[in-house]
Amino acid sequence: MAAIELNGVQKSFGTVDVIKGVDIRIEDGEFAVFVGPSGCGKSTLLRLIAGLESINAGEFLLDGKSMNEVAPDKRGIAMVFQSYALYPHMTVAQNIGFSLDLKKVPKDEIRAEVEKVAEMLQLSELLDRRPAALSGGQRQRVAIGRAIIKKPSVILFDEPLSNLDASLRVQMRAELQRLHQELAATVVYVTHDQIEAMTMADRIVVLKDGEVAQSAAPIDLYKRPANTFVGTFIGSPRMNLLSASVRRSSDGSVEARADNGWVIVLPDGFSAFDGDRIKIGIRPEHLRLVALPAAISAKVSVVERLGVETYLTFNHPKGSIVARLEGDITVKVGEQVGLEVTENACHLFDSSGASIQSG
Amino acid sequence: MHTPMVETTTGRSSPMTLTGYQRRAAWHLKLLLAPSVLLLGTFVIYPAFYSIYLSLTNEALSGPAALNPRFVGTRNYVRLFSDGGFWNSLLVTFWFVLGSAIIGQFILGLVSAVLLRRPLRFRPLINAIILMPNAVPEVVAGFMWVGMLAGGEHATLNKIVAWFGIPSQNWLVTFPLTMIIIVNTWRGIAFAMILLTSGISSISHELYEAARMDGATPRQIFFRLTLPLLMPTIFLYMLVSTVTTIALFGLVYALTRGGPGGATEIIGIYIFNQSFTAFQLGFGSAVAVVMLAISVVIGIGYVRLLKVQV
Ligand SMILES: Nc1ncnc2c1ncn2[C@@H]1O[C@H](COP(=O)(O)OP(=O)(O)OP(=O)(O)O)[C@@H](O)[C@H]1O
Ligand SMILES: [Mg+2]
Repeated sequence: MAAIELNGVQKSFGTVDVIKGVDIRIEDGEFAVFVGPSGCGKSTLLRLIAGLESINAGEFLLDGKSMNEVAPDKRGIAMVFQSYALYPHMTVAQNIGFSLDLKKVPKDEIRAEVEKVAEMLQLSELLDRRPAALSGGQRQRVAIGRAIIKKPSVILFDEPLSNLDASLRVQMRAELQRLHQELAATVVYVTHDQIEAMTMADRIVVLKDGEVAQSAAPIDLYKRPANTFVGTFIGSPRMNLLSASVRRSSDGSVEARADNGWVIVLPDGFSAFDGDRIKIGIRPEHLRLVALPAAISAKVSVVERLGVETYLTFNHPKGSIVARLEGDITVKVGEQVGLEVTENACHLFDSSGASIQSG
Repeated sequence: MHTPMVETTTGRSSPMTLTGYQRRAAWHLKLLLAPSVLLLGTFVIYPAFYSIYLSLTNEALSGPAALNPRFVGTRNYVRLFSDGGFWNSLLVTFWFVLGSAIIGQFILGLVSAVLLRRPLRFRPLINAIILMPNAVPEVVAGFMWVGMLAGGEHATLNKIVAWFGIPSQNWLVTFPLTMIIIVNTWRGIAFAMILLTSGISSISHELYEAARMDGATPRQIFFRLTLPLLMPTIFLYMLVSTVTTIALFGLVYALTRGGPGGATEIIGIYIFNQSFTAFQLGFGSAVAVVMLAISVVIGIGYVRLLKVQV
């Protein structure tokens, strides 16, 4: 019912280009999440879709129809604001029913609709309260209620959970997913939180400096990052990046000599010339300890024991490396240990950072 | 070195006794409030009570009572309530406050505040034009307007209306009350605009965006969002402007001296005329006390409404 298509969309404020030509396709009913560092243009992109800002160049299509010149309330799109933006002088019921009231829908019809929405969001007891007398989670639900009473085909969320405490966030996350299924609306959701993105999304759009770095399903993003930016942005602790030179031996095998002295064997079919500079991405969870002597050995600089897992940091002037190991490992700081990379787990990027081949 | 902190932070204090720190904090507060209290006491509270005392005597500035004032009880008040001049000045004051403060300054101030929020081309110029009247001393402003509104063909307003074929006239004589309302409105727009602008800018921008997403027209946004959210500021404005306009004197005195025939004799001028033109200080004080009482009642009324609002 509502597929979103952005074609070469650009937006600038004065002389500052904020969105620099974005192409995204979000299928009907998908839960799409925009992630990216602060200031990369996530909110701006959302506001362009909402119609709160005008598009400078390119086109926004909803179900194939251009929305560039359509007023915000005529797009069939609802938005939940980060600060909730509830009308402080209205009760919960009035807040939720405001859009219907503006359209002069009869009072009893509004009341019936509001009650239906309130029940879905467990707000029935709170309908006569003012926003000031609600908790953060309750306000959040009112803001969602105000959005869904319009029966929108697309709902936009701008960091909706960032003002809630951790446990409430987990609960609201589940609730939002349930709602998404019930409403069958397309959702576009902005967040800073990787876990939120990975757990909720059908599709994650990673933005960087007003451009799309990659748009894919969460697990593809993790397994096949298109560039070093996505590789290091998704995953925690972040992916280790080693600068290295390719060495081809006469017997046909290829290996990479990293600047920190590590030697990593590359897959057979790897096409690169001798001496090429590449970047190797290794996720911390793809390193494991092996007995010495080993191909790779390093001195432990920091040990972080969390019980269920242990983080080891190996400092080196050419870049530190972090390993994430299962269970409680008792190694000492300063100890020399042997390391091994899980087979086919290396991500290879060219010197500009674009993926060469995914492992 | 002497350290007073040590003896005050022992754990002996019970909820009933203040700790040394609290006692010192309270002391500081009193010290900081003292100058204000002293000034208010000397120049507001004492004169107010002295006025009440005077209003119960036949104190005058000339004649036998001036030498030897007598206590006359409520005689001044009885006389006051049967004095046509007093009732006239109350009515004039009512129309003056309603016309200039509550309607003129408020509406024009609100319109300016709402319009000037948008980036208009001549915004700084318009701002300056609105703020200027407030920078002129009220008596100077009054005399300036006397010149503009005077009779004769060369007065400013007469020159302007001559274009429309309206005959020359002395505006302060033909429309005295209307003219003082217009002049006071002109002078007070700036205050209303400043206060209401600050009220409007404290309304979150996201609320307006939410309303746009909900499909509100600019008109609906104004009446259903801006206006109700501005209510506390509006009541504050009403309170301040009503009370200061009731107490106004200089501007109107410079314009008309209360004339012609009492048509612009607002209560401040009536008090002045009774006390210093007719020299009846006791009677004038009685009027002042009544006016103070009215202001207090209005003030309390607004504060009540304000509490209901928020
Ligand atoms: N109205 C505006 N005028 C000028 N610059 C703006 C405006 N709105 C946003 N920007 C700029 O555009 C860039 C992107 O802003 P945006 O709010 O979209 O970032 P974001 O990705 O949502 O960041 P965050 O994660 O911190 O919310 C920022 O550099 C910001 O300063
Ligand atoms: Mg943002």
